[in-house]
Order: sequence, then C-alpha cells, then structure tokens
Amino acid sequence: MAETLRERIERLLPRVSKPARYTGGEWNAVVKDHSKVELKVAWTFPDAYEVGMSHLGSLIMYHQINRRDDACCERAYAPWTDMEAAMRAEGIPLFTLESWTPVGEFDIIAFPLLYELTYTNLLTCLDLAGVPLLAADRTADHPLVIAGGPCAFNCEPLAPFLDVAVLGDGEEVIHEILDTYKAWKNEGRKDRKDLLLRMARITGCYVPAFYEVSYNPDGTIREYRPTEPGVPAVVDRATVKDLDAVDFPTRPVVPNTQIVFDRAQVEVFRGCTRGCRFCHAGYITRPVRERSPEIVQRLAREIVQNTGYSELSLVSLSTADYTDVRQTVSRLSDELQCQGVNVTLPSTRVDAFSVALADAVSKVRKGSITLAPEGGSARIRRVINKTVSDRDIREAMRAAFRSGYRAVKLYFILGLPTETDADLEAIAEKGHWALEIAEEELGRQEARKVRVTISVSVFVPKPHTPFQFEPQVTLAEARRRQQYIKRFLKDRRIEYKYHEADVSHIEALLSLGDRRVAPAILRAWQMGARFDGWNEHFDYKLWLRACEEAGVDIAFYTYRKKGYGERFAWDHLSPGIDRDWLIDDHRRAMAEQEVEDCRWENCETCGVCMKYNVLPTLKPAGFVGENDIAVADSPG
Amino acid sequence: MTLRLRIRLAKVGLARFLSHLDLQRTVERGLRRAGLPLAFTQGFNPHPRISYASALATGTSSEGEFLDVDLTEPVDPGDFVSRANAHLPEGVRVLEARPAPEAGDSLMASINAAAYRLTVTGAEEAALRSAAAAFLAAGEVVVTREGRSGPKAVNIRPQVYELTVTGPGELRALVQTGSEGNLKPEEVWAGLVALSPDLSGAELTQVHRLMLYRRDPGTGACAEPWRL
Repeated sequence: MAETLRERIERLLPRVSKPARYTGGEWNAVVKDHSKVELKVAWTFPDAYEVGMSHLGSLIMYHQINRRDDACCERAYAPWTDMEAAMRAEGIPLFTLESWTPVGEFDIIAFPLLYELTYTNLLTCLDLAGVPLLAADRTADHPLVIAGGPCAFNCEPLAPFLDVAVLGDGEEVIHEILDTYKAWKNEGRKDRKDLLLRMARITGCYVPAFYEVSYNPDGTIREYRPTEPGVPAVVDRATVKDLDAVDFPTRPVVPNTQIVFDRAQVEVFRGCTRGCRFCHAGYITRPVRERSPEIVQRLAREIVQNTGYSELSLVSLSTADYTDVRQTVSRLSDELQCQGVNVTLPSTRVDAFSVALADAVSKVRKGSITLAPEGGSARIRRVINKTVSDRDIREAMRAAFRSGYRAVKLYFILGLPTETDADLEAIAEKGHWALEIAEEELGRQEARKVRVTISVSVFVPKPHTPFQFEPQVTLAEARRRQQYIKRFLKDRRIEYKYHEADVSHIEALLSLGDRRVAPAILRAWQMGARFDGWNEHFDYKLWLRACEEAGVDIAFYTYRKKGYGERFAWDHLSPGIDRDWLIDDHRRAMAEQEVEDCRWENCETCGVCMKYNVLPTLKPAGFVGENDIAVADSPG
Repeated sequence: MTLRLRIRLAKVGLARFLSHLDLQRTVERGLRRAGLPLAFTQGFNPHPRISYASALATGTSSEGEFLDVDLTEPVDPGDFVSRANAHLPEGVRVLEARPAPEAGDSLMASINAAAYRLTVTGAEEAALRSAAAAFLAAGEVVVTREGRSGPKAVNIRPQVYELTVTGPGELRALVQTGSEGNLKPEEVWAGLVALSPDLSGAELTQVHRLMLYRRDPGTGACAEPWRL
C-alpha cells in the first residue's frame, strides 16, 4: 500500500527541529470533509508556525472562512530551513496541518503580508506547493494566489507573483472573494483572466496584472494605466464600519507548542488616530473603530473558556486609548483572576495613567515595563508627532518605579527625518533620567538594582505615511549614529541594544520598492534567502549580489529624497488618506508642528472618514457607572 | 484542604512530537477548558498545582505518564477521566485516575524505573535475540554520551534491569529513570548495536514508554505509581 502524505511527513519529523510545528492536531482546529465543501482555502503564513499562530488577523480570517458551510480554511506555514531541505529531498509538497493536503490542491492560497522580510518565504511556499511563481505562468487549473495585510498597501515588489492583493479589513471582503470564485468555479472554471477581471471589480481587490506601468527617463514612475475595462485607476481598501457587527473568533486554534504570543486575544479597537508620522499601521487602518465593552467582555469570557489560556490580552494599536479601558480592564481582571487568568495590555503609552493601568493588571511585580518615547528630544518628537512631553516621560518613569518595577525598557527610533547628534544625545539622556528618578524614588541603595534598557531601531520610511517622501539614512550613517549614542551612556545599569542596520536597509527597499524590485526578490530567493527577518538567516551580502544581478539600485529606492510631485508605486492603492494631506503633514513635520488626535480634538481632514463614510466610533460602556470601579491613579 | 488525583496519561500519534513543556501546557489548558476545580498556587502568578513524575523526550510516545493534580473539591475519578478527555487534543489521553496516596514521597521522588518498547526496522529477530542476550551477559556496556564537556564513555549496563525481545523488531527494556540516574532508551539501542555488528544496518524507528515504576533495588520488585 502506498504511503500517505501524512506518513511520509511523519517520517521526517524525528529529524527536524521543533517538529510540533508540523503536526497540527491542535484544539479548535477546524477539520472539514473536503467532499462536502465547494471551496478550499489554504491560509499560508510566510513565516514560522510560532509567528503565524500569533497573528490575530489570521485567526480572524480562519474563523470567517470556516464559518461558511460551503468552504474550508486550512493552515500552512513556511517550513524552517531544515524541514524545507527534508521535504525537498523526499519530494514532499507544502501541506496543510488540518488534513495533510498538498497546498497546490486548494482553490485559493492566501498569504498574510505582515513584514517585508517574509517575501522570500512566500516564494518558498509557492514553490513547495508546486504553483508557478509568476502569476503569468498560472493556468485555470492552478490555485488563485491572493495576499492581504499591511504590506498589501504596497505589494508592488510582489506584483508578478500575486494574482490578487486585498487591501484593508478582511472580514467582509473575503466573502465577496469566495462568492465570486465560487460562481466562476461553478461555471466551469474556464478562463483565469475572466476570474481576475471579476476579482478586480471587488472593492479592496487589486489585480497587479491589469496595470501597465511607464517610467520617466530618471527612473521614477510616470503612470499606472489600467489595461482592462472596469478595472479601477485607484483601488480603494475594504472597510469594516462597525466592529460589533463582524464575527470575532471565540474558538481560536490553541497551539500545543510554544508560540510568540501564547495567549488569548481580544481586539478592543481597530485603527489609531495618534498620527505618529513614522507609523505605517496608524495610516492604513484609520479611523478608530471601537468594539463595545459589553461585547469585549463577552468575547473575553468565551475565549478563555474555549481555549484554557491563562492570559488574556486586550489588543489594539494603543489599548490605553480605549474609551472604556479602566472599567473593562478592572472588570475582566476581577472576573478572570479567580480562574487563574491574567489580563494584560500589549503596550504601554508613555504617561503615568498608562503605567498605572499596566501596574493594575500586572500580577507579577518587579518585572519590566516598556515605554516607547520613539524620539529622544522633545523637538524630534514634534517632528514625528509623538505627542509625549519630557514631563510625560519623567512621570511615566516615576510611576513605574513607584509601582514596584525595577526594570524599564525604552524604545527609540534612530535616523528619523531632521535628526541631529543632539537628538541622539537626548536618547542617551533618557537612560540617565530613569536612573536619576529611580534614585529619587527608591534611594541610592535600592536604585543600584535598577536596570534600564535602551533599544534603538533604524527608521524605515513607509508608504502612505507623511514620511514617504523621506530618505532612509545611509547604512554607514546609521552605524555611526548607533555608536554615537553609545558614547553618552556612562552607567553600567544601562543596557544598550540596537538592531543590525543592514536588515532595515533591505526592509526599506522592499517597503518602498516598485515592481522592478521583484526580480531582486526572486534572485535572492534563488540564491538561498530564507527567513530574512531572523538574524541567524539574514544575509546582507546575498541581497546586495541579488540586487546587482537583477539590476536593482537599492539607493534609488531608499536613499533618495522624493518630491511632492513624484508618482509612487503605491499611489493607486488607497487606504483613504488624501495625498495632499500627507504633503501638508510632511510640511508640518518639517516645521516641527504637531497635529491633534482627531478622536478627541479637531478633525484635520485626512480624508478617510469622508471617503468611506465612516466615523471614528467610540464606545463607552453602557453597563457601568463612571466611578463604579476604577484603576488607582497613583498606585504604590 | 486539597484533594489530589493521580493520573495516568498517554501521549501518542503525532502528539509524541510535543516536548515535555508542550505536554504540560497542553494538559493544563485541557483541564482548564474542562472546568475542573483546579487548585492554584498562591502568589502573584498563580498556576495550577500539577506535578509530573518524569519528563518525556520529544518524539517518544507513552502510555505511562503519571501526574498528580490538586483539586479544590472532590471529583469522581471516572468523571475526571471523561471530562478531561472531552477537552484534550488528539493524541493526549487520560487513561486512568485514582485518588493519590495521602502520604509518601512526591511522585517524582518515588519513581526510579521505566519500561520502554523499542521498535526497530532492518533487524532479524534472531540477531535481536542474540544481541539482547549478549547485552545482559556483558559485565559492562559502554556507549558514548554527549556531555557539557564533550563526548564521554559511559557504562550503561547497571542501568538496564531487563531487556527482552517481545516480537519481530520489538524489544522491551526496563531501565533506570529519575533523579538518581536516567537512561535514555536510545542509549540501550546504541549499546545493542555496539555489541552486535549484525545490527549495524538496523534502525530504531520508535520509542514508546509503557510504564513507570518504583523498583526495589534489593529484590528487583516493581510497583506501579498508584500506591507509592
């Protein structure tokens, strides 16, 4: 009897690292009878299992597809390099964990794009699935290759590899995509181009093959022209107007093995209106849409019950900003604590309120607290619109030490527009502030135990942000600045961490690139690039060789200051923000002017609300008086 | 007052690729989902009071894992088994539950032997039998063990109490386990191969733990962990 694919995979597992990545069988995994569904989707995460399983968006989409009776969604992940080698040696295709079905046998392969340095893994997955890497080489018999997530808003470097990119919130548009596919399939699955044309008419769906790009003599883009009738010149994103109206997964797949975010997650709101000018997520997910506290509480209760997790995280881009955050946190803490479940917040805003909030939910004292001022000086924080004052920083530090924390982690970005050496010195200064405040609060003796970590990443200009016009600092300059900060750190209690600048350089290329960058990705993959986001795998020299062979000038994309009039590769992929507004906001940045948060203050007319007829929705609790339960303002 | 149940657990099929930590996490979540009245540790970071007899290697299956679970109210052992199994993922199964003995050493401290089934391909049964006989007759069986300071030659013979061929390509080994000394079943196989050139082409394909024991070093009598 021939060995099944499952048996062949099982034979590889004793030989590879972390075999539990490949076994499936997790609680809440949805296994459907393929003969009873009309559509099969392989949700293929182009990174390791432990990263992909932590992605809330993937859990949401898995649920959205599987709640349909006519469809099934199964998961696949990029195999680690040892597993890839073993699979290739044995001729084993990429498979799904639910049913050990080859990914190439699915109707649709869907890739979430969260990080540019997973692009080579996407090619590994397609190749192992036996699907032609180039969309142009695929026939009606091949799966439809779609991709979504934050990076879809400039998926041009992947343009030749993707059939469809999906912009925006996936919960509703996925059903249009599946219905459209189903209709095409039921009509006999005849013409792939016909399918793509139908997809291109769905709001949020972008078919790269239907656009012809022309270039100016200086290498910049002249024009994107749709080549087919009915294909929009500008693709709008899909937008969920009311989070309460969309289903949220209360039975998420529970991993058996450790993953990066090993906890229950409830999304309390989507979008962010803080307007930090470097932040990609802040611009592509506007406006703020909150989930009702009553629903958050119900979801939290059900998820904890259905998963057995011992930790519940209330997630969003800035959870301290959730309208009902105090009551929601304290109610959930009270309810779940007796079940041995901790409530946690993923990030801490830099002010005393947020530290108090983090302290209120932290059952483990003396841990560390993370604060992200992002910019060292008050001046540069005005440039990046990180509206945190020096006083906020000091008070947050003071609150942290008073609450019992003995370790503070401070996150900064290096290479921000207009940055000078004085701004870098200000980064080092914040480390010394923490120590001074520790001594004031704790006394000299106790303050000796304090640990301060200063962590600095290199700025990557992102599409659709006011800094899309800005160049990245050169690699040499980034390295000089990393060392420059070090000179001003004079205390052994301060630990200084910085990331390899060359990784950020390739991230910038893939963030800002156009479709002429695709051959460099392909070449890098052919030369062996895998898991580029992982230090142990990233090979800068390989990328330089790949770009050279593919004729890609990295500096053209990363080091060049771009004019307000330049046509970008992502200008036809719209998150709803007016380009003119981004120009105005860039001017404000250069003038060191802040913008207000439109959630509470005046509308600055970025354009999103009007374009999609959706307003910031704030949802205070309906079931609890303001002062019923409150988190202490000044703990300690 | 706490109530303690002693549980016998199986880790089989693809679940054998779970590490010991993975298994602990998976069992804890299953028992939480089942809504069993778990007792928690005190302190800032409470966790259920569950203690395991012995860690099991990644890739090794088992029908002989033992753990003690503390509860805050009485649960019928039969109910415990069915409720837990209704909430554990594929391959992780509660086989039996009994009230734990009131007194005595901790589960971990009382275990000192384990029985394994070794499955082998590419070996004649006769060759296996003569290898096992040679193993038991030998005064010492030396294998190489990777230690912190590089490879080291170790005599494993005193740690192997029984070794029998139970069928084609199948052996049963009773070996030392626990805090006094721990022998990996893979090392038993390495010892067999070292003694018998006939086995050089054979391959150990699966290791399965059958049972844990308290073995009396004087008499060699073995007791299962139910009443220790």
